[in-house]
Amino acid sequence: MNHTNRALNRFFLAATGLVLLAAGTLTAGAGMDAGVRDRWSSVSTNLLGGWRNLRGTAPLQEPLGSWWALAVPAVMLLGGAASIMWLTRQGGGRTSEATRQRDPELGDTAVDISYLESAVEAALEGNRAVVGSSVSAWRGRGRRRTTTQRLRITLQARRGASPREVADLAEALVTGIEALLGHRTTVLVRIAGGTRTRLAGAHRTS
Amino acid sequence: MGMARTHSRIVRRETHSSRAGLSAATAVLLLAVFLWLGTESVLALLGQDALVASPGRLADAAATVPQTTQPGELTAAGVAAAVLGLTLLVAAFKGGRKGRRAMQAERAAVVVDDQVIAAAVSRQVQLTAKLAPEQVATTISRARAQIAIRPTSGAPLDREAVTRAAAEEIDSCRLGRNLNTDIRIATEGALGR
Repeated sequence: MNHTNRALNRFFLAATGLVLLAAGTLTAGAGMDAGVRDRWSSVSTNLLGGWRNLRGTAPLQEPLGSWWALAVPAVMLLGGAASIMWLTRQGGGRTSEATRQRDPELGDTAVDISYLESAVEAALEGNRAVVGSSVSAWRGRGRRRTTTQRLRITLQARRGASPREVADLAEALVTGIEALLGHRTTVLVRIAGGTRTRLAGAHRTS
Repeated sequence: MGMARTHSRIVRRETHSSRAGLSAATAVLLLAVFLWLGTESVLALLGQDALVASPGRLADAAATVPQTTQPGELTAAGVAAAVLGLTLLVAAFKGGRKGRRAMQAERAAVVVDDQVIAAAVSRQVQLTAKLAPEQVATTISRARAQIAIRPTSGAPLDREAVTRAAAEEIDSCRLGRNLNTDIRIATEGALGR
């Protein structure tokens, strides 16, 4: 769980996809139809001519020739900046603090995630339904711009373990964590299968 | 209620793809193109030699592509670009469900991997019908659990009991949305162990 802006991701993907689709369709059309080829040539010749005229409207001394010549690198720079922004907007929001108590007089008290991690591990020791666990935290955005830490517990279920059994266990863990932290917390529990589950094998009855 | 809304929001985020991987890949490619074209245009402004081709040459080349390229190649390139664009569009608009689903719980938002449910169902079926683990395979799709059983040769299989065992395991999960069971018993049996 993180702060990835998913709507923005989808919007950018849709925009890029639409541009590619349009360009591809046009190119394929030009390959298949002579009329499209002719129009391509005439339209692009017009565009190039238009660009040359435009350059003349804002002349500048050589070697630049025109203010408009500066527009090309500027647009490329903007595009590059937008790409970097899109890249950096992925993820983020993770924290290693499970909670932080602010007190103007006594100072802040933070509980590190590793403390909860080992507490969960200890609580699960000897449990047959779960073969592994991990705890992480991210900053959730609450109302009135307050940020509260939210927890994510991943439990690796043993192969064949009943999901309800693991879920009940998880709820007991959450109750324990809330007792440790002293307040209610938003917790996401993921009951996962995966490599660890496969390697651990099924537990045997009888 | 705030808690329930928060829970359903984080469950949705956990069970659906963020499209971060595809976004990052697309952004890196776009960045490379922008950087290259930006560098070319600056080099052209300074009157230096181009890396590959100057923007002017590129524009001319784009204008004369229909004359200089074989129509077949043009079509192929266009179709490739269109398919790529379509892929991005589909990724942008499809749900992007991951193989996980929500379970009802009071104190936390609980999400379970489909393969965990499948393993549990397989195990219950296997124990009920007294089969070896490899004789039962469960696949979970959006709204259905498909259980394929290869019975032991010569040993009759109680379809009723097996169905009940599978349904009970699924019911016990208390999923956000229940799964239908679909049991398929192979006509060819496995040799007894």
